[in-house]
Amino acid sequence: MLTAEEKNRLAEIFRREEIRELTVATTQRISRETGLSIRAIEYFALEKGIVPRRYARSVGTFTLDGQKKLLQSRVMVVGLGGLGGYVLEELVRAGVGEIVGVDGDVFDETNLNRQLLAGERNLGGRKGEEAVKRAAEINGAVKVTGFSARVEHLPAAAWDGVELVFDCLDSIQARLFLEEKAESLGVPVIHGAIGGWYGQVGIVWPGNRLLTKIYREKKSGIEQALGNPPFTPAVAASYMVALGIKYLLGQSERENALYFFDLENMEFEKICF
Amino acid sequence: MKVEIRLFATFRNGRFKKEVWDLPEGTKVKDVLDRLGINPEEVAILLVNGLDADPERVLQDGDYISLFPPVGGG
Repeated sequence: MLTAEEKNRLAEIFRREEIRELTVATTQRISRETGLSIRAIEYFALEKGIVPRRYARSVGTFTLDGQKKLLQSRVMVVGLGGLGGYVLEELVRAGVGEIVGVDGDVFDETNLNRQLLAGERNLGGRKGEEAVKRAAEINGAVKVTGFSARVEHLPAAAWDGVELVFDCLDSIQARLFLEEKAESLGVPVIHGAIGGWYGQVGIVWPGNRLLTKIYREKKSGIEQALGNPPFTPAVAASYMVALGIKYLLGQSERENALYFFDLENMEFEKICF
Repeated sequence: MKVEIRLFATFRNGRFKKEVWDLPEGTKVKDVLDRLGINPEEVAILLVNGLDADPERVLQDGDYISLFPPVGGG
């Protein structure tokens, strides 16, 4: 992330200013002075054992090395609606360094009951652009690239270096496309889907065709009748991000499983294939 | 023979959560679906004893069936 010369320069600044903890204000100032990115400065600090304060409550869970790994990671979030809004929010706050956000839609009033990125102020706004704005408000270390396009129409370059994909789509056809695309790239997919009080999450490992298995020729699910209430997306999204971060930290077991939850009855089922 | 039927999400509507049925030998999963009034097309995940199974599967005493509808929203 840094050249030897840049490291020396930062080491000099950290020594001179006796930096023991890194605040947002200090990071921003050093970035202005040196022209280096916030992310690079945070990464340097972590290498020196200094935890940027914004991650102070995370490192107990992730470890210092884990936090470094997250800052170096590049993931894609496909769909920036109910699931995607919360997934993006948590990834940005976690400090996952590069996020490619994909959604061809604009916000409308039916999104307001559940979509974190939707507000009265940005109705009609492109979801891909709103995602970039939201991320910039929260964590300047994270680079979000927004694509206002359907996943089927993404330019090839959008996939460069992506090591994990979050399936936050609402169309079964698009999900099956994503499964095939990710498989061709050898990249796992963190799948999530919701409808009413219910939801499911799981990891699609390259080759296991989990989505083909559960959706087969189906066009839609129970969400057509039940809709999507305010709380279900946040639950599914948090399970997804937990699965995703475990993967990025190298702590995932490769198993063909789907987790199904029912918030009406507070039930949780692990389904093995 | 006794077979336990476990229904999830919307499959419980107007039916039940869990029941044990006394079924004749040779009963297939699809016969159970028939009695439940569930079209195999409506089922996304069909498990026998917690593992992926087919509607043609012949049930054994002590088996349990789990049925989940498709969930696709985001």
